[in-house]
Formats: sequence, C-alpha cells, structure tokens
Amino acid sequence: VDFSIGRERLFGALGVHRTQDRWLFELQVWALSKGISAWLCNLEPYEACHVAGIVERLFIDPQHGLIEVSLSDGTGTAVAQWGIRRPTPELALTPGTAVVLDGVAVIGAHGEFVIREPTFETDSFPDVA
Amino acid sequence: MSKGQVLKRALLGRVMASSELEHTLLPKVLALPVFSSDPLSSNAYATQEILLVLGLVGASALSNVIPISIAVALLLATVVVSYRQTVRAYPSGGGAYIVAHENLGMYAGLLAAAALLIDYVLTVSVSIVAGVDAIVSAAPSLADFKIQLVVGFVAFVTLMNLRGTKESGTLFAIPTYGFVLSIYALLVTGFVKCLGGCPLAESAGTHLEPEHALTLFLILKAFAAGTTALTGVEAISNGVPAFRYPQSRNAATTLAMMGVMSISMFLGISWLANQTQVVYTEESSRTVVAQIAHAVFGGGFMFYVVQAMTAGILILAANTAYQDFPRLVSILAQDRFMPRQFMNRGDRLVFSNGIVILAIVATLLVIIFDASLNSLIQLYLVGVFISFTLSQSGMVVHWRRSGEPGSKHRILINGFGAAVTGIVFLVVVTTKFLGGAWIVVAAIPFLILLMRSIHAHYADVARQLAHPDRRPLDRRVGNHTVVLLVESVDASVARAVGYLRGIRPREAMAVTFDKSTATGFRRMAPDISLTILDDAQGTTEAIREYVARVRKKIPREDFLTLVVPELHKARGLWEIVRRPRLHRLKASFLDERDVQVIDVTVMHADIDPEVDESQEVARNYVVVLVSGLHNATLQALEYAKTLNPTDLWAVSLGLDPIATEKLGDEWMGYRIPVPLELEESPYRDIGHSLVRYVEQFGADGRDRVVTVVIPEFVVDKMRHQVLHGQTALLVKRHLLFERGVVVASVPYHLEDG
Repeated sequence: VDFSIGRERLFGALGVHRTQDRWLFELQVWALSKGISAWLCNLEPYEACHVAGIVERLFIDPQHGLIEVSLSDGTGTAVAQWGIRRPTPELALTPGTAVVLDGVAVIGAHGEFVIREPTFETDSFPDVA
Repeated sequence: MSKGQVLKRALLGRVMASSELEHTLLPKVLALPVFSSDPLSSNAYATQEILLVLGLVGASALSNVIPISIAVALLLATVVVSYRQTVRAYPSGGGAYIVAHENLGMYAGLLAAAALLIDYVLTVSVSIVAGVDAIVSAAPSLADFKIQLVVGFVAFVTLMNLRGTKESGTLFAIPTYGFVLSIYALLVTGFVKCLGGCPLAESAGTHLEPEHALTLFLILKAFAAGTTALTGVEAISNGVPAFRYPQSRNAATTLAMMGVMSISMFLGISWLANQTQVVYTEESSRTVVAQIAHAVFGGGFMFYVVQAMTAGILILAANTAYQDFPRLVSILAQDRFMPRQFMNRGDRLVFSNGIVILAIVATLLVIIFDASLNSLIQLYLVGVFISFTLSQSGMVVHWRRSGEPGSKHRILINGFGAAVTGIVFLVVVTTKFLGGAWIVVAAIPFLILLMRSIHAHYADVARQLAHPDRRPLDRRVGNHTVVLLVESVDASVARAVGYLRGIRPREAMAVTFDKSTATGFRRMAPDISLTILDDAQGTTEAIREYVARVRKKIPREDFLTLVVPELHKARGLWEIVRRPRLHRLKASFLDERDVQVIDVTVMHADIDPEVDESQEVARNYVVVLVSGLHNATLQALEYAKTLNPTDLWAVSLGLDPIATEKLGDEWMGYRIPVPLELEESPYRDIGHSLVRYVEQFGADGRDRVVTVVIPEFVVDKMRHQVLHGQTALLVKRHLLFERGVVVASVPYHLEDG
C-alpha cells in the first residue's frame, strides 16, 4: 500500500496547501497596504527602501555587538541589522511580529540583502479569516 | 507520517499554525452558543426545580412559582449586569479567579479557582447525564447502557472540542439556537392560546399531600433551587480572549443577549407552568417543559421538536465547561498553580491537555455516581455561588481602587450582586449540605492546598535555578573526560571515536563487556584505553560504578560524559522500543550527579564502507537549546564550550513574544559571549522545529557534525516530574535519527525543597 498517495490526498482534502498559500497572499496584500517601495525579492542595493514583512528570526550576537532580524514578505527575505545599545527597542521584534522598515539595503556576506540601522515600526498583521 | 498520525489528522483536522490563532476567534453569533449553552440549557429545568420544592407544601403553594421566578430573574439580571462591568474592566479575560486574585489576594483567587474547576467538571457530568436521561426517557430500552452512553457523549464532545473552538461552536450552534427558537415558539403559542383560555397540563389538578408548611426556609429552598438558572453565567467573562476584536465589547454584547434570552425564557416557562397548572413531583414521568409543550402543542410535531432540542442542549451544555475549564487551568498554569503543560496549545490551537483532563475527571465522576442525576446535582451550585460572590466582591475592591468616574454607581451594582449571591450561597450550602454538597465543601480546601504546593515547588525550582551559589564554573576545552560505551565494533562506535577525537577531552576511555570486541576496538582506536567490565551485577550497574569511580578521580571542574553509540536500521519509535536496556541505561544516568550523556547515532543507510568512520570530526557546530536564562542554561553553555566547537550558538524556539523579549534582554544583561538565535515554532512542536534548524548545517556525521546540547532539570521526587514537561525527551526522540546530529543531555539536579 502506498501511503504517500493517501497522505497527499488527505492533506489536500484538509486544505494544508491552500491555507499556507492564502497566508502568503494575505501577507503580500498587507505589505502592499503599507506602501512598500519594493518587494524583498526585488530590493535594489544602495537605494533607500521602505519594506514590510514578518519577523522570522531574531539574532543577538553580544560578541560582535549586533542584533539582527530576518524578515519575509512572502516574496523573499532580507536581514535588518542594528548595533546593540541600551535601551534596545529592537528586542520587541520577536518572531511573528509584523514590521515596516526604512533604510538602505547592502549586500551581506552570503549574498543576502542586509538593511543596516533601519528605522522601524511594528504593526499588526490583519486577520486572514 | 505514521498511520497513527494519519488517524489523528482525520479525527482532529490539520495542524494549525500559531499565526492562525486569530482565525479561531469567535464572532458573536458563534460565541453565544459556545459560552451560553450552559446558562440557556438551565431553563430546561430551573422552573421544575422550584415547583418540586413548592410541591412539598401542596398544590396551593405552586402559584408562588411566579414571585420566586421573578426574584431569580432579578438575581440573574444583577449578575449579568455585574459581569458586563467585569468584562469591560478586564478585557483580557476576567474570570472569578483573576478578579479575586487581583483584588482580594491569592487565597481568594485560589478559592474561586477551586470552586470554578469543580463547577466545570460537574457541568459536564450533570449536563450529559441529564441529556442521556432525556434520551432514556424516550427509549427506556437504553437504560442498561446509560453509563456507556454518557461516556460516549463525553468522548464526542471532547473530540469536537479538540478539533477547535470554532469547529465545536459551529456544530453546537444548531441545537443551541434550535432550543432557543423552539422555546420561544412554545411561549408565543402558549401566550396566544392563553388569550382565549389556557390549555391545562396533563398533571393539572393532581392532588399533592402537604408535607411541610410554607415557611421562609422552604421559600428560600425553592429560590435556591431556582438559581440553577444562573449556572454558567460567568462563562463569558472567563472566555473574553476567545472573542473577535473588539473583545470586551463583543463579550459584553453577547452577555447581554444571553441575559435577555435566559430571563425571558425562564419567566415565560414559569408563567406558562402556572397558567397550565403544571404539578411536578419526583414521580412525574414528564418534565415541566415537556408537560407545557404537550399542553400547548397538543403532543404534535412541535412537542417532539421541543423535546429533541432540549435533549440536545442538555448534552451540549457541557461545551461551555469545555471552553472555560482548559482556559482557566492554562491561566493557573501561567501563574504556576497548575502544571505548566496546561499552558500548551495543541494541534488545533486549543488547550488540549485541559480538555482531556476535564473529560477524564468528568467521566470518573459519572462512573463513581453511577450516572445518577439526583446524586450529582446535589454537588452542583456550591462552586457557582462561591465564584459569583468572590468575583463581585473583587469588583467592588477594583472600583474602589480605580476611583474612575461612575465607580460609586458600579460599586453599588457589584456590591449588591456580591451580597445577594453570598446569601444565596449560604442558602444553597444549608439546604444541600447533607445531600452531597459537603463533598464539594471538603474538596475545595484540598484543591487549594494542591495548587499552593504546586506553586511552592515552582518557586523553589526558580530560586534554585537563579541561585548565585549554584552558578557553574568557567570551563574550557580540555575540562572534559569521556567514557565511551563499546557494545560492538561497528560504524556507530567508529563515529563516536571520531567525535571524541574532535572534542579533545582531557582523557578518553572506553568500556566493554565483551572480550571479543576488545581486539577490534583496539585496532580502531589505539589511542583510547579500553576496560573490560564484569556484567555479573548487570550492565547498567557495572557502568554506573565504573563512571562513579572515574568521577572521583578527575578534577571537580571537569565534565564527565558517557558516550553511547547507537546504530539504527530504521527511523521511528520501534527502533527505540526494541532496545529498552540501552534507553534505561541512558535514563539512569540522568539521576547521576555531574555526569552527562552523549548519543552518537548512525543510520545503517548512511554507512559508507569505503570511508574511515573513525576519522576526527573536522567541524563540530554546537547548538545549545535554551528556554530561559538560568543556572541550567549556563551549565549547558559551559558544557558546550568544552566540546571544542567550530561555532557555538544558543537557540530558542517557540517562546511567546514576552518571554522572547525577556530572554533577549537578560542575555545581553548577563553579557553571555554566545550568539542567541530566537525562532518561531509555528506548529508549537519544538522537536520538528529543531530538526529543521539543524538541517541547515548539512551535517554528514563524519566531517561535519551538529551537537545539540539539551539542559535538563532533574527533580528528586517522582511526583514532581509531572510538573515539568518532558520536552527534552521529545526533542531527543526527534533528533535521534537525524544524520550527523549528536545529542548531549546535560542534567541539572534540583534539590528537594
């Protein structure tokens, strides 16, 4: 018995993919509503940008004095980076937080877009239901 | 996905991400049946309870049902108005526990919580037994299967609630609204018929032999019996967080709708009972509502509709308790008065552990009381009025402290509510004490003591975890001695040897029980000394003794680790189950102080015969799993430093935003020189999230290894183990079969407080 076929059918019937797709779509609609200048997948380096996304990861590196978040807007991802200083409002950017950023993107060590010291504003992601 | 998981998904539905929590919030139209099925259903028997008491005086006293019902309705209105104030003052949920705890102190809060918990369990037992009674009345042949039917319905309501709040609300809306509509149809038809002379109930004119005079006590008893109409009114105030935004406004509106419906239905039924001259005794074969419906509809189709809807709502009244009990225990768990596992949301974003516990306790109660409604109902109401009184009293203190404009007026409303419900509580206890209420009165202090002792345990654990004297010493590479367990010379032992070479311990030694493996091992790892142990007293005991001897010899600041190689043929639970001895051995070392255990696992399919598996590991990425910053975490970080890491991270998965921010702040405050990564666990499954996290390192187990260091609390007493989630065990199970992942358990022993 090939259970993988049944599993795909079951997942399809339970609408797993539909829900994920819908969430990504709503995320993009929300980002657009924030008046973004570019999608994260289309960022231009060294140009001022106004982007929005959901925080996926918060990273604190006390040795290098850095705090950074990875965010996604449903099209791509980027990293926002700040130097650690007290008080540290960036700690409010916990995973799952919706955030709108203004800054300039540069190319990071692994080819990713890094927005250094952007100004930011947290927002609430609307109900998708 | 295993077959068990497929079945689980089929029964419960797909796993919901935490980000979907907002989608589970209830609109008013669904919140009403979810939170009001209990108070609305009590209209099915509240009038009947009054008539039952008045019947003791004789038929002439039955007309007193009207003034007593008006008094109960006034009390209900007072409580509803008071609770509307509560939900507005506590927009994040203002159940009796929170209000009493905040305004009257911890013990008042615990008293309210204990009363509510007992009340919710009784709501499930009583309502489902009452519903089954209605079914058995219609089909007497089912009487022999009453307990089985009750257990079946408990299981059904439990399953529906495990599927999610919205799902259960949608399903249960039909009978709840059906009951309300059928009762209104009954009242309107009855009122119209009464304009031209009321029809009489089948029991009208039945002679009742007076057993008592109409005394104040009897009137109070009838009043207390009628106050069953108030059960479940507080449910909405507990469940505010389940409403759609704006939550408190929607909750207050729903509360008002429920109040208007309950009062109108209750007064209407009492009025019609009086007009149709219903006589009700314990021997009556038909309920009061059934008699009225029979008289008004003449036993036609609508009579059966009313009966069916009544049976339906009586069973589903349990749903209100299923909403509030898990929510209350989760709040108590948050405040450390209940095991913390109750805080966890399940696959469908409901508090599954609370739902399951409620089902188990309610079922046990039904079995103990042999599904007897008369016995169970005696226990009811005591908890309801304790929580009403404490909640209203707490609100009086709240308004006094707030000093907001209009607070005097609010104090008056809540004060009146507290006084009246307090008096009713005394009446209920006095009239029901010997009938069974004493059980509840005795159980409440026991529950309070239990919650208090759970809280004391957690406080003691927190104190020990933060104690500066127990903060670990600073350790470096080399502060480490390793004992390798060699059961056979295979790829897993070879990889373990490679791993040991990579971490550069102060000393590495190996033990075996089998002389035949010694030659092969010495050829594989001539640099590691091998001791052959005698297993006459049992392998576990022999290894423990050996490790204890080594522990005594090495410096105090050194870590001592037992390395256990494992070769797996397949993934899954069976692989774990089929080697109980090995897992018992690892578990036994959790009890050993100052000894850690490392698991080096290899999947059979990953072995390449062309490659020397015992070569030194080139890159060892070490990840420390962190849930908070305390001595256990600090010890795990120190341990990780001695593993000669290529890179060292701390990672925290699935913490809530407040805990994430706190951890980040403390991490910087403690000046910990290790990067901390905080990630979501979208499906609240840390094991799966960690597997996804370690996959990014592309570990192959030979050149590149990921070591996951897991700090574990170890408590002295068995009974304390249930107070701590077995997260480490679950995480280890997930990581056991991952390629190139080595798992290190670093136990932190807590003293008995």
